[in-house]
Amino acid sequence: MLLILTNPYAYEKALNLAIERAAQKPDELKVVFVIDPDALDNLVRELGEKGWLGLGSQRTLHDSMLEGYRALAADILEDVRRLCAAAHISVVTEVKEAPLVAYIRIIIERDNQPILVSGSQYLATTMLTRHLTGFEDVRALVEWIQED
Amino acid sequence: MWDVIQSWLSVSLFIKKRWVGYLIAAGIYGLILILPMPGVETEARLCLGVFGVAVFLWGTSLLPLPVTAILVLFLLPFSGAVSSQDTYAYFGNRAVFFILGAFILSSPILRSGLSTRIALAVVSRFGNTPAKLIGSILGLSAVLSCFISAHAVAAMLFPIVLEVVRASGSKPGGRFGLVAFLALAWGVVIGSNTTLLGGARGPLALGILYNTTGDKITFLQWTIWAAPLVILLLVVAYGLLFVMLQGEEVSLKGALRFLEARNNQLGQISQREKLTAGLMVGTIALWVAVGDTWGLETVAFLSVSVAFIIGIAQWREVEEDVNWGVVLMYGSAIALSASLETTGAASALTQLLLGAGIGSPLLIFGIVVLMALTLTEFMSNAAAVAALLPVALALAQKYGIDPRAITLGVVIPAGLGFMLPVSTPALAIAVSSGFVRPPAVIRWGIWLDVIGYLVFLGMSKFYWPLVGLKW
Repeated sequence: MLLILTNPYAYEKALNLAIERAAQKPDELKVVFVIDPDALDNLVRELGEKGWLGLGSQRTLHDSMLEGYRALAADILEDVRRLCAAAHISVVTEVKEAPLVAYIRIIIERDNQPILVSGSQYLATTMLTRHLTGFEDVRALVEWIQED
Repeated sequence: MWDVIQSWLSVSLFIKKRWVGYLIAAGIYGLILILPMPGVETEARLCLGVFGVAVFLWGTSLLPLPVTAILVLFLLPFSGAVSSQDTYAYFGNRAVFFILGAFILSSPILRSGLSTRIALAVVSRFGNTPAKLIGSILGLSAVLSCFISAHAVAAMLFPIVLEVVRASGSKPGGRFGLVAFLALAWGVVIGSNTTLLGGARGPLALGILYNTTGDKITFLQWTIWAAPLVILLLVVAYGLLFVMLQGEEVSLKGALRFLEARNNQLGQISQREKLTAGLMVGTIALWVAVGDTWGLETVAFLSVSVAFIIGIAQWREVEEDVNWGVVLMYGSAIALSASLETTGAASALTQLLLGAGIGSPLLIFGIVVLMALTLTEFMSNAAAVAALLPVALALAQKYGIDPRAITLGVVIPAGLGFMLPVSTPALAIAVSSGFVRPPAVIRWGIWLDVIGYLVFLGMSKFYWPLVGLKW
């Protein structure tokens, strides 16, 4: 079973659900924290525009946010491994830097297995109504877990 | 998470499709043209139409702010509200060049490493306990925002605060990370009100004030009139951060080791840093001493010229460090406010507002301050100033309020957005760290908003008359 995490603030609901399901099957759980570089680019561009930041400051922010996020993702996956160990579940973790939609499509086309994706309501809405429109086969295999 | 923050920043929550927004903008323009407004000249009506469109677009960020500015510069002459000659003459306001000079001057401060050196020195010197460390981040952010654009300070300090938080072992959801990033954001927001250099909205307001009334506020006056609010809010902010930090156990050994290592990496202070520090001190001294006679923009350009001549500024770096859109946005906002004034549109708008029947200048002042504080939570600081100040100045004229007081009554509250990241990139930067949950920003920020409002009103009523601003 594959669980994709996207938000460092909120992932417990999806993780608990994945652990619960993994406990019922002898499957190995794979948890991937996806860092979407496109989302970061867009955010920094907006911040630059609102705060009148020059390219130099935007680059500083971009690089340090990315670096900080890698470290956060590693922390969270460590937490995931600890929780899975406590539940006697075998888990593999990975930090992936890729656009989320492209990553989901690749995984589903390759494995054709259902996946759990944890994220905000905004992410779920934009994914389902904009990015995955016309990809019904992909949508059917993605289960969105909306975190509070 | 970044996608959510970006969605807050980019488009109004209520407008899901851009074309709907453009239709609404066109509808606003059409509605203003057909609404019955007895006694209002055609030019004034056309100008109000452009104003309505600009406020809507700036407020919703449907288009990038500089693009809306270009639209305004097109619509004003094209609609016949004012001639193209007047439009572009208003655009070339002195305030725009002051902003440009200040932005160029911040480039060598950031590039020479001076600002990083100061930041590391302050945090490592004073930050030996968690409470002191938070205090030093808050104070440092505020002090640096007196000299460099607040958001550039936030971008510069972000990696340092992130490293400190990580080295302290703080995890997402932990209070130390939350408090450290809020200290950064609150520090730059509060500190940016101290001088005209902390945010371009100050010079923008001065440009609108001068174009509308011919009044001026000097560099020193600004600081004297704003300083008590800044100091009091910093104390309140520190108190809130201190409360938040209670019960959190943090080891600073790792953080102090990181700071020491970074300090060692910097080595001896360079010639470029020394010259940059000297130039900035000299520039501020000139702004204070002769800014009124020479002009703030002339002093800024003198210092910019010196910076290039002595080799501490490089054009290649300046090209990257200055967001050139600021020139378009601010020039166009000033041109729009001048057009509102000259066509009589501002006066007509005021007459409409006077119909509300408010008779007290104090009440009007309080409402204007509250509107600025509220607007800035939902739109960028500059957009709030551009939207509200022309109307506020016209109201001030009708109620006999000193235009300089109403200018500060708009621009300072417009710089006090503590609740939502929409208006304040520094807050968005803090949230983007992964250590600050948006609800925490709102929950704690509302205290600063409320206290800021009350302190500002008290300061304007009781302190300003003591220092030469009676209204």
